[in-house]
Amino acid sequence: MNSEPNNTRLGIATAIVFAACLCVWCADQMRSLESVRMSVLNSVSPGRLVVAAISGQRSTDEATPDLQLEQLQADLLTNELQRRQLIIENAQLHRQLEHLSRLNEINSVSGFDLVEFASVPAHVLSRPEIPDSLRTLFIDAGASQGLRESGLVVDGTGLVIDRGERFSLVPGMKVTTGRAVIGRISAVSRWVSMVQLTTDADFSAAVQIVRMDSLRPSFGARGLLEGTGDGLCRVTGIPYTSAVAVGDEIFSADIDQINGPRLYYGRVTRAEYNEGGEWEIVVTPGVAPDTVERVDVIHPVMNTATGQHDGGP
Amino acid sequence: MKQAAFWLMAFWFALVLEQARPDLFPAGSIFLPTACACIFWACTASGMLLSGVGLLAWLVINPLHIAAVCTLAVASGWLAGRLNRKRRWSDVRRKMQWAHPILAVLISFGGYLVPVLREGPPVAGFFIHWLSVGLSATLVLMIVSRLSEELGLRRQVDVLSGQR
Repeated sequence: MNSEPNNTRLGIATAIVFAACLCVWCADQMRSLESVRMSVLNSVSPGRLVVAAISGQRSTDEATPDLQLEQLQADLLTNELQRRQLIIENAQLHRQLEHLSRLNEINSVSGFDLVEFASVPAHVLSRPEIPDSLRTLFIDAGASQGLRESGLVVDGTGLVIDRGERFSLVPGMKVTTGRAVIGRISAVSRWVSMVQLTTDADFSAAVQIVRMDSLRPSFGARGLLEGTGDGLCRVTGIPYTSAVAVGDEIFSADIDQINGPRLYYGRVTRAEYNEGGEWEIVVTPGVAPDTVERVDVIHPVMNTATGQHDGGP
Repeated sequence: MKQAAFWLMAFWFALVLEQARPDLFPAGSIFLPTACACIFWACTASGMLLSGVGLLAWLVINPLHIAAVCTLAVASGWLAGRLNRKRRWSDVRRKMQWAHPILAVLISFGGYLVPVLREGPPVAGFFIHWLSVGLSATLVLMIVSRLSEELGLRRQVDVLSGQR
């Protein structure tokens, strides 16, 4: 060391250390240092445990009540944040599970064995009517295929979905999100369809009231659900002798006059007698159409796959 | 070889302390002064390389503080180089300034602050805590170093080359 002090060698060594540090840093940026880091940490863990064991008791004794209180408050805050995060995640998972289970019920065999109800998934293109830009797009595309304008665009108000005649949609089919009805097909063109919302003044459907008793739900009177045109629905044809209360649920009585799965319409938010001896029932739809991006078009299909309805044994 | 083993153990123990009690010894407050002491103890290229090995290990555990490691290596190398220009070891020992290691540690603390300031302004207690621990460790190491010289415990041998 003291024979020939060499400043150049020291500079080279410094440069080597500097370059090695940069290499380590770059390797860390590329996430290739984990195994090395674990090895280094493992090499110091015996001593770390010994030091922690020796100093742990003493540090606990020396910790002032204020520090302990701050630590506890910090832990409490952390736990509270974690709890809220878990609640949010739980609600999201519950909603996803509910949606998937409803969709599964729709897709599975339901109603009579002979008739199943299938769904055609669709995206909502626009609301409340088909925009001019989309209309022009359809007309231009149709003109290139020799189609007339009347077969390409749909008129009316509601939701415009991206499924049409090519998917065998016809007016009158119920449109749902999950198992909640948001309307029905009112007009169909080659590529798109118009959905008439349940709140539309021209909408009507056969429904049945379901009372949610403490033990289990029970079916009540049947009536006709109509849109009021102001974002709500009403149920008519319920005699005053029937039991109706705010909070009752409204389900479909049938689907296109076929007995099938019960589709959900909404909840009773007001129920009063009118002068005609009937209930005047106001229903809030179960789904806000403004928030819907994906829908399902429900339609009956013949179940001829099993062969049990073909006259077999 | 004995010196190399001694400094490797010192590095290991510094890592142990920082990992075991991060509340008492913030990251780098023990290790960086130890690495600095190693460089100034040897004042040679081999000392720098030996310290570099320890610094790399510390950097693997604390990858954010590359600025601290680099500034310490460069500052210590430059300051040690000034001491290394002396032709005789006795001159080196005589001319070794107490301010050099402290200055190197302070410069490395500046590099240490780079990632800390990026995450947000730290509280004043952080500066005081780190500096008090770091400078205390530096002073203790310098005192031990000088004592070992005065008591004749220091072998003036290049740890890697073996030259006296």
